[in-house]
Amino acid sequence: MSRVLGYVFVLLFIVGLNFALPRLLPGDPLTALVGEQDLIISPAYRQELRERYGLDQPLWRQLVEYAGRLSHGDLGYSVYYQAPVAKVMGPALLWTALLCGTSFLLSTCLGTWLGVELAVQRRRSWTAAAVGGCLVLESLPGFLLGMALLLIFSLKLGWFPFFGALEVVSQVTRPAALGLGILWHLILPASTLMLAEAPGVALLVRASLLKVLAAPFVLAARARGLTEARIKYRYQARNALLPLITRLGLRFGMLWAMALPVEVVFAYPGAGQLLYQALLKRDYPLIQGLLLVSILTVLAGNALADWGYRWADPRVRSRA
Amino acid sequence: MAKRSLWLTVLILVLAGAGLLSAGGGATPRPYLIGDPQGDWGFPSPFAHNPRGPGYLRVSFLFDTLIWKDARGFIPALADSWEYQASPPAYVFRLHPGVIWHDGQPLTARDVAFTIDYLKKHPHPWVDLRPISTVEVLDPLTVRLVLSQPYAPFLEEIAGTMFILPRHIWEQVEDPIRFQDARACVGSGPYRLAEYRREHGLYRFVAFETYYRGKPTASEIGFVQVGNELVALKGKAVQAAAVPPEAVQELKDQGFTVLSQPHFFCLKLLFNHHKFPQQELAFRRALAQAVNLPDLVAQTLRGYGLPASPGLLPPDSPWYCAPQARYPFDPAAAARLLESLGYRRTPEGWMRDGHLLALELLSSPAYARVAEYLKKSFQNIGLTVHLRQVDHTILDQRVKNQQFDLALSGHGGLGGDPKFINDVCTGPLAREFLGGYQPPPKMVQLLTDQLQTLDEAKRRLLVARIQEQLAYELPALPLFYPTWYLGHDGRIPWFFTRGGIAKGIPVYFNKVALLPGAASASPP
Repeated sequence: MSRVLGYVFVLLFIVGLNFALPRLLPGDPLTALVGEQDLIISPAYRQELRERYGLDQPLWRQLVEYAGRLSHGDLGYSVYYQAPVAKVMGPALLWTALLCGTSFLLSTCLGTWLGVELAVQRRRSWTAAAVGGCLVLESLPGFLLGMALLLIFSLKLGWFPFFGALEVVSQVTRPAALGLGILWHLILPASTLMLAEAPGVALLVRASLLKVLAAPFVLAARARGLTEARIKYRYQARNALLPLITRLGLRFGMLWAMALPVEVVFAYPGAGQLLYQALLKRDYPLIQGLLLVSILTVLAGNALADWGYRWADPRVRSRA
Repeated sequence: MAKRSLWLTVLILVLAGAGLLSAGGGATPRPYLIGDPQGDWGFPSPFAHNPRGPGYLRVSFLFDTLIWKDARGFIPALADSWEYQASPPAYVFRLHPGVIWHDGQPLTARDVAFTIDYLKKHPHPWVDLRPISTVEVLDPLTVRLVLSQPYAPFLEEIAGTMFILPRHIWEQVEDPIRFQDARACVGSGPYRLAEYRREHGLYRFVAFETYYRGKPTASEIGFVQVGNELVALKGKAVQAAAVPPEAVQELKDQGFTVLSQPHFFCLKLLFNHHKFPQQELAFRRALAQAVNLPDLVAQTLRGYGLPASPGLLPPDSPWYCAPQARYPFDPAAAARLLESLGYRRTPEGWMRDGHLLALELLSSPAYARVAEYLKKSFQNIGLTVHLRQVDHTILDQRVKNQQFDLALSGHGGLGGDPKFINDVCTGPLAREFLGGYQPPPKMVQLLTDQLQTLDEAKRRLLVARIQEQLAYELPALPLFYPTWYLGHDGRIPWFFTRGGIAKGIPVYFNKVALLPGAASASPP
């Protein structure tokens, strides 16, 4: 209960901060909206925009209006996109959930498996090369990796599309083709994210596992005649999971930020790119909406990490 | 391991095959696509589009104006002909007979009158209707727009920019920006909206079969967001896109058509005219003579650009006239000019009344190299300059609030009607575009006169004198006009519109290129 109250308090505090932070940025949405186009914008239109978005109101009044709208579930109206924030954010969040969710799952599974194998087979020659490869991949910026994949698999081989998350010509009449199209567009960006994330997971699992490889409970499990696979994953890996859960909890909230360079390279219509544009354009309502979702994601990540800790480690459960 | 690799290869091949299937294996015709890294430019209605040029451009495929421009100048659009009447000053437009909206309703002079009334109540970002005093519908196909006084930019700024709205749809719309359903896109242009996906930056237009100037040659055309324009173009995923100068030769070798755009964007060094010594003409000239503009272009643009004219207008502008006042690179002359202001050169820098002259130069990341070059040039004459890099919006805001010494700022629209010089020089915009410069009465008079002079030859003389005055006064130091390129597959005869599309959008995608007989719209 106290944990839930704690999360509610944090949420309220952050909603307040959420309102203030965009407004602390130098510049205002109108300057960002029209930019050099100030030459063209008619004076009447400029004034109309100022009134429409309440930018001529004192700050306290804007806060009251924001809180009032939020209490009704209304996230406001985007200044730059001239559309309801929920309508602008919705599709982007869905694509981000698909991209980040896929890469998160794949990188966790692949990274965990690779980490376990690297630790267990540490005396084999290939593991040294694999660890080196992981270090290289871990240090490569996401956009560089994405660009390399784009040049090889799209431009040279022509296997995958160059941009977007869907075919340009709508395929709504053919759901199967639509699904395949989404999958086809997802492969390169998701692979980029997976290749950027999995090595870190693998190295962490490997390092954690090396500490428990020769633990007495492993010897006991072998003495009981358990299979090697069961010992590896049920006993050794589970005991090495705690640092991984911490990492995953932290990464969960930052997924869309990490996806930003990949979204830019593949023009994948995700929320990371949208937040970046919203910040550049000083689109206060959109920044507020996206930050709110981001905060909820971080809180969810922490809650999942909490839960994961208790699942993985009975000692934490008994202490609670 | 070999087994795993085999499985992986099979998986990739299956997925790639799935990709081919999902693409329809060529069964569905793909539209002609134009790639754009920015993507979304707002809902394509006359009110909800983003107020920048690309937003207007997308709507121009759906909605027509009274007149339009091709490579040579004004051409008929909704109006077949137009004439000016001197007393009272008025324009009479005769509409093309038989024009229909996308929903089949006829377009009449009443729609034109309605549009003007509606835009007066609901301002449009691009159209300032204050010069129009009354509108008279003379018959279903003739409309007379009476002006409060002669207004030279009328054809370009209003008749050639104002989208005509269907009265039967918009007369019930109270909040035009939030009116964003399919009916908001019913226009009289050569294309109808087939699909708009905000998150993909996708605008797909299909040809309007019964368009009054003939069915467009491309049955479908679209704009879509791409991550890398060059890669997408080379991979033929899009058919046209802006490309970097370094790729021009390679693209030509691969059979693409590459066009360079006229130089309608200028990067300027702004001076804060509310501060000393920037408000002094001698100081501004000193800085102008401290910079080697051809070398600046060679170093920072790798030669892909033109050194700017001190009169602001580029040589590509139909209104350009080379000013007499020039500021050739001469560091010694620059130093003498600083001395004339009472500054004394010391090992620390230029001193006056015991104070060291040190200025801050604001720039955005896009112009970091230019800022570095300028700092070095100014250091060569002993001037201390500190660089400060901020993002584009912060820079604009600080310039607007006069919180700067020197700033690098650019703007386009240099090809349009010379009214833009008035916007730049006078009123509240002067603060943003020329650092708070107050033009002398002589200049104000010239600016007023050029707006009211309908005789083109006389107006040309006035605009030439304005350029001369700008070059003499140097309210800002124009640095260069960058060269931008468009690469395309050659299927559509894109051409550059005289002065830019509508009131000066400097891009190639004029809808006239998609109409029958478009090749004749290109420059001779």
